[in-house]
Amino acid sequence: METTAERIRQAFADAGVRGWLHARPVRESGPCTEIAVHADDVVPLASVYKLPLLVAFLRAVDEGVLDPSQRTTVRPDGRVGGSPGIAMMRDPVTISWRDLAASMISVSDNAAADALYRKVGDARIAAAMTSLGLTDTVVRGTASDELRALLESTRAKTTDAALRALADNDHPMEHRYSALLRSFSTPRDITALLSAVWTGTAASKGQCALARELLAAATGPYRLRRGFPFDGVTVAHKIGTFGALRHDVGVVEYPDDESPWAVAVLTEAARADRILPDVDAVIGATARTAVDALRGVVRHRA
Amino acid sequence: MHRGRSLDLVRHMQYFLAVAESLHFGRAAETLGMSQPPLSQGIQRLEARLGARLFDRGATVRLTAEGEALVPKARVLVAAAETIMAPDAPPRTAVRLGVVAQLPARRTAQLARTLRSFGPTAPSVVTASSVELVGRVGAGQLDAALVLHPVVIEAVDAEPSLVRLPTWVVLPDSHPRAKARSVRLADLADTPLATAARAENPAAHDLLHDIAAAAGITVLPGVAADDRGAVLAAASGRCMALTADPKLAAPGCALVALADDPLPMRLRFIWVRDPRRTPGPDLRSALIAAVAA
Repeated sequence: METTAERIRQAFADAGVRGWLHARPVRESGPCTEIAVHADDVVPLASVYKLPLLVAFLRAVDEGVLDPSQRTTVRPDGRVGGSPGIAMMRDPVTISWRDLAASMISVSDNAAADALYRKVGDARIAAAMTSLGLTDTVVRGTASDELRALLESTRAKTTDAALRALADNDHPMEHRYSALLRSFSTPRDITALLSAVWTGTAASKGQCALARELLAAATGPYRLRRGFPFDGVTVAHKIGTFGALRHDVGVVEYPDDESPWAVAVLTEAARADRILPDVDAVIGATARTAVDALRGVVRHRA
Repeated sequence: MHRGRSLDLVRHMQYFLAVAESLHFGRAAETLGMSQPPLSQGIQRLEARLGARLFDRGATVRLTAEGEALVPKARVLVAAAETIMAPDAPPRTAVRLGVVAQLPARRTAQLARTLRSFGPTAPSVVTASSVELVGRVGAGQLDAALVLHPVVIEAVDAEPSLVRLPTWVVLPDSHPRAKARSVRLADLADTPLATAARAENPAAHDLLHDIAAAAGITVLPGVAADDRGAVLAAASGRCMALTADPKLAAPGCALVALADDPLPMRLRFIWVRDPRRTPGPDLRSALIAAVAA
């Protein structure tokens, strides 16, 4: 009889992707209460870096270094687009730091993330990750930095042209990702970070509650959510997309379970095409397989 | 002129390759049978000598652009050193190559001929699906393979650029378009397209399926895994198939060009990571040239 991990690996292969997955209850973790598929491999994060950035921002607020309701003006210069929100706006926007965090998480706003990243700084992000024991997580730039590197690398005139070059099956580019991309982590570090947010240890209880609210309101392509199409089940999450990389990481809550479930699913498609619904679907399917297995184990133990 | 102590380049290339392959100083040190501090110092010494950072050391270790560029050269140097230090070692066993069944016979023969010219021992060439070949190269059972792109790639080095071959459609000779010089995919909407089984390479199959579906063509997987299967499928009169061999001919079949080459055969070389077995740059270039010719 196949193990859950084997079934998940098969599902990834069938969907034409390399896949990395880790799932665990938010309140505890260990070999008997986790599902791991290449969970310790270091993978580029794409927009999932916005989650460590969010946690570093909240900790800066806790330290009193940053007033979250203070307003700042975000100028349009140097914008490379790549997301909804302020990134697609043409004029300067005056907005509070916490609203920038909200836009960054809810629509993966690249411009909001840039502004927060400049304010919070990568040293603070590194310190937060170290303090939480997440030694495999590195954030050294933003999505805009990565798009700029892509523009340069493809010699494209617009972000859209660069993304089209990335989507060309005649010219695979995966081997260039590690040079273009700036932020990396492992599935296990990500679920640990999510668990710290859910147990109120990543920052103060109040700021963790805000993080949970923002992640629960996040929009984006249905990936994790597709695995849990039930009204009563909440899925809070952060997606990431860059070329062949499609990720979704988050926390799934069933109404009567003892613990919410943290899941990180990261994928890299063999096809370069921009639209791959089967990949979005396999993220949900593998997350569901993992959580079902964990719920089975934990239910039997109780 | 005073020269600094000369650097044992081969030894430092071995250190460099061990770290480049594991991206972890501790694991690399273990592989080399030494402790970590002298390994770290050795890398620093090498970087100082070359005047370039080879690794970014942060929470994780990553190769810099200079580091990436050095990897193939380091492999060549270490492999050459081995042949010098062990001249009486038995001749290196021949390269074990894998190819997909869809590769036209003429090009497969060119590959075998190229391998023969590179070594005294007869090469071995096996045929298997793209997914199977990736697994076998990754496991070190093969040294190289030519697979259909796109395919999920893990644990092997993939050649950055592809060999793209145009394809022709093999039609039953009773087909209304059988006498045409060239046909658009959309004009074939009523004829099912026989292909290899999906499991041979789900990614490539789904890409072909999506393009065919957009043209209104039904795909029949598992019916035509290679040129022989293509000819049988068309000669049966019930469906069409694709081939990259413009000279493919058989009773009951007609070969017609596809306008705009919508379903090309994209081929990619993959190489085993083990530096002792991986084909050197000369052989790689020769193999690529043999397929593309």
